[in-house]
Amino acid sequence: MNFNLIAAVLSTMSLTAGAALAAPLFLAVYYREPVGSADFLLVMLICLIISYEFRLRGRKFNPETTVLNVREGIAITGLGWLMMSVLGMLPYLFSGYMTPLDCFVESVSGFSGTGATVIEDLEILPRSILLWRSLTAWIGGLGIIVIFMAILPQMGRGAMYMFRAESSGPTKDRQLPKIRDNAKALFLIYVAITSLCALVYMLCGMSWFSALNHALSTVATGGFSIYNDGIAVYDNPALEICMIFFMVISSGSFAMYVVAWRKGSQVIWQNTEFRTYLMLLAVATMLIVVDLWVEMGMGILEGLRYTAFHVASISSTTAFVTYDFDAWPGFSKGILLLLMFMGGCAGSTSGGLKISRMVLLVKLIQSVVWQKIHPQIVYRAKMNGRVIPDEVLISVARFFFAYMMVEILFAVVMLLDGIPLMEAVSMAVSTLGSIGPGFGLEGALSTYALLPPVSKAFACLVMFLGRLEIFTVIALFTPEFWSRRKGW
Amino acid sequence: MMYLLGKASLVMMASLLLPLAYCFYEGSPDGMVFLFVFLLMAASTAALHVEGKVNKRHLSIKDGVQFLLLFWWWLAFFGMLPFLGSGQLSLMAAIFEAVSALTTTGVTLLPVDAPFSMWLWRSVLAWLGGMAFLVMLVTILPHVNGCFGLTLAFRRGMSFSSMLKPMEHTSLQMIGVYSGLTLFSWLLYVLAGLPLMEALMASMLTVSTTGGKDAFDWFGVDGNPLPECAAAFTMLLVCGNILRYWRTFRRRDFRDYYGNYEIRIFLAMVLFFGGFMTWNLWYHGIYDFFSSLLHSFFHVLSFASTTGFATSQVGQWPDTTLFFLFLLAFVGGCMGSPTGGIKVIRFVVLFKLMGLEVRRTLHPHMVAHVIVGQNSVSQKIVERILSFFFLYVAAFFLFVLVLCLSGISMSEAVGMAIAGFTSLGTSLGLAGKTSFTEMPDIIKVMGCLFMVFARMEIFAVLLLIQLSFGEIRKRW
Repeated sequence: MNFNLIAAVLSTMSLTAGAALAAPLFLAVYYREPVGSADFLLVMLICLIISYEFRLRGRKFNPETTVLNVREGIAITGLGWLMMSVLGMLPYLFSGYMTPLDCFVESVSGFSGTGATVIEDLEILPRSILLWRSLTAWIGGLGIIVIFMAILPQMGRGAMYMFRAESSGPTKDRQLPKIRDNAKALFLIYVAITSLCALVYMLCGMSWFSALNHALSTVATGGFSIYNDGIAVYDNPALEICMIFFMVISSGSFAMYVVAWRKGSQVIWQNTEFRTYLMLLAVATMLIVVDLWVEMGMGILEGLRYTAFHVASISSTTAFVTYDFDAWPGFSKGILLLLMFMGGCAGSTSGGLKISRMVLLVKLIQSVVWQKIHPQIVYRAKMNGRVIPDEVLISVARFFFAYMMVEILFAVVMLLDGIPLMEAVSMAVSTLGSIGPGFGLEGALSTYALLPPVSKAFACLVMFLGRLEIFTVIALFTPEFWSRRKGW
Repeated sequence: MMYLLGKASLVMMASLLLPLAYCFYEGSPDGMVFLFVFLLMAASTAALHVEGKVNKRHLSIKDGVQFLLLFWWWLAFFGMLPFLGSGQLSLMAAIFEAVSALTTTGVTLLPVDAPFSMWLWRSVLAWLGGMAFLVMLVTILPHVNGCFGLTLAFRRGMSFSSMLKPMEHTSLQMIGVYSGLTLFSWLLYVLAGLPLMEALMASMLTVSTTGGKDAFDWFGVDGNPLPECAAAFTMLLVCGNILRYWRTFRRRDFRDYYGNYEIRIFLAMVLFFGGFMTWNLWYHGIYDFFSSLLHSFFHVLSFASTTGFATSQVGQWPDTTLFFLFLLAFVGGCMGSPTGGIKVIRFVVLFKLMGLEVRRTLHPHMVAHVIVGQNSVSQKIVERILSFFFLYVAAFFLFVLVLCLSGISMSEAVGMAIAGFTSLGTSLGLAGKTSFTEMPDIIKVMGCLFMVFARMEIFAVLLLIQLSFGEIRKRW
């Protein structure tokens, strides 16, 4: 375990964080917010100091000769995320609006793309803070590591491990030979889509500040809004349609968009995962519209408007809300819960188990059934035109089990803390899947504000587990991981 | 397949004699119904025997799958006739009741004031269902369905062949132990103070892990903890691997039994959850210490064995304890017992896999095996267990959605789904009492389907679908 290397990388990351703070600082100065300006200036200073400290520690690091291994990759990713979350909470802390734990929760919620807020009244916050909030979601959406690698110079061999530790999905593959080119391409697409989104929102009638914040939040599929009632404030069907469009786009694999940019748009239609995702959205929407009509007497068009929005919102794990779906009948809520669980495509900014995993799990079952009937058969699972080896299928099934166990564990912790059953379960699903709202206690308005402290702290852990796909985080907790000498 | 059905019918016919005799003894008019059913069954069994006079020594997969699924409906048909005939239940309700008993789920629709013979018949059906499941477990299921960790529970030397003769041999062993346990349980209940016939009923319900509504007030009656103790002890025994009892008994080697990994984990689980609940109930002031102890362990064992006996006060317990109870139902007992759920051994393997997985993040190219007891688990079995877990959860959720269609809220649906799917069959719900009685008929039918599917470890259904598609394609 090469601590020098880790320290050096973290130091650079801290510097980057400082740079990211420039935007809200600028805004604070522009709007003449005394609290905001001092606030962000202070945090930037802290970033610089931390960077310096780490640099001292990592003096012996020599980029040309150092090789990054699996452990260092995981350590950098894990610690990097932790550090960013801590740095990210400082603006909230210094502004004095929230308790320390709440600040941390808000920060983690942002970076992990969950988007569940503990702030009770958003509209009294200064604009710089609101911008920072949306920025944390945006940075965390694509990934701290990815953005880091895109902007900064070449890492050396083994940067792949960092990339892998952060990226989502069962098969962590890449489109371009050099990791750095990959990261750059992803970053560019990300910025492009976000800008387009902001533009479209403005055309729909949002103010520039509102459009920017919501665009940042949408493409990152985070779900932070700057209004207490969320998007419901607007009541603008055109806006909702645009949002649906961008939410769905953001839950497609960004890597796929990189390839589509180079090879043409047919790549998107050929992608099994994205197609399955779109089909799921269509089926879910239909089922819920019918259910709402039958059980609640909601007109088809009205139902369609709300359903389409929420289906897109929940399955992309963004969780913007225009209607309190807590009042919806059990069947619809069940389908929404299922969508929450499944999430978006692998390699997108959305959370959840990921559609590709669901597809592979179904194929696993198919392979077992086939093998029983025709024992001599060799079953090859194919996805996106490529053969998926058995090993991957099994690892997906293992992940599924781990995922369920983490949810149950979190539900138990919340139950012990006194939260009623259904709320605990839905919150567990929603947190691990980086969605945000749930049913019941927090309702459709996604606030964690009423959770007792232990649950809040545990929620942070679960949000990490969700974003970094469980095993990476757990590895950080094993003592074997940190030993100086490499055993084997 | 006809041949097997014929044998099963024969057994069921024999079991009809019990309520028949009881009815004549009591002079109840329902005796006519039982007689009628008996004669009907006799005719059909004879027909089956004639049809099924087959020289086959070997069971094909197709036959096996068909038998697995049709068997239940065949028995359910005859099983529901007494309920229907006595006018206690409507057609759908009668079918549901029969299926519920046969799959040892135990969700009952019988009104509390139904005649004793009906309750008796229900427990007979349940007992048969448990026995049927055990027999199938060691004969047809492994060969047809695939070993989802089944071979882990049985040591080398147990071979599952598709030949009919050895199947008979093992099934007789199972039946022997099962009956023995039932008699032992009956004795316990009689000692605990229950009247003879009720004790018989209770023992049949407990050993088959059916349980259900406590219509006769056996449990939870203040001042008499003995029936609960009898039940708890029986349920503890029943959760173990039944076939292993045979070996242990023959060799008089009890330590050999305890050495079995699965049973140790199960006991640890029971102790842990029982202990936790005892503390929790006492802490919240619901009971004093000894009552707490008694009620916790009774319910822990009841749910872990997927029997589903629950005293009426459980509805007031804190949410944590309820959650744990339902989780326990999901886990079930050991492989080789008539309990439902996913079974302990599968969870053991799954958790060990998780440990390996964490190591694997650090060493991506590692090759390692899970070890249970002294045996290592092969890749194939690991794959099967993982896929089974996914299938179980997916089917369960589907069941919840189907139940939601009837208009109930999601929490109620989840409670009912757990009761039906894990063959728990408790009248207690997650959100208070729930009742299948009020469900529309179509939902009752779906409930029956899901109960059978879950009992047959779901794969049989998929196999049948796949095989049928194959047939259709061939005919084209």
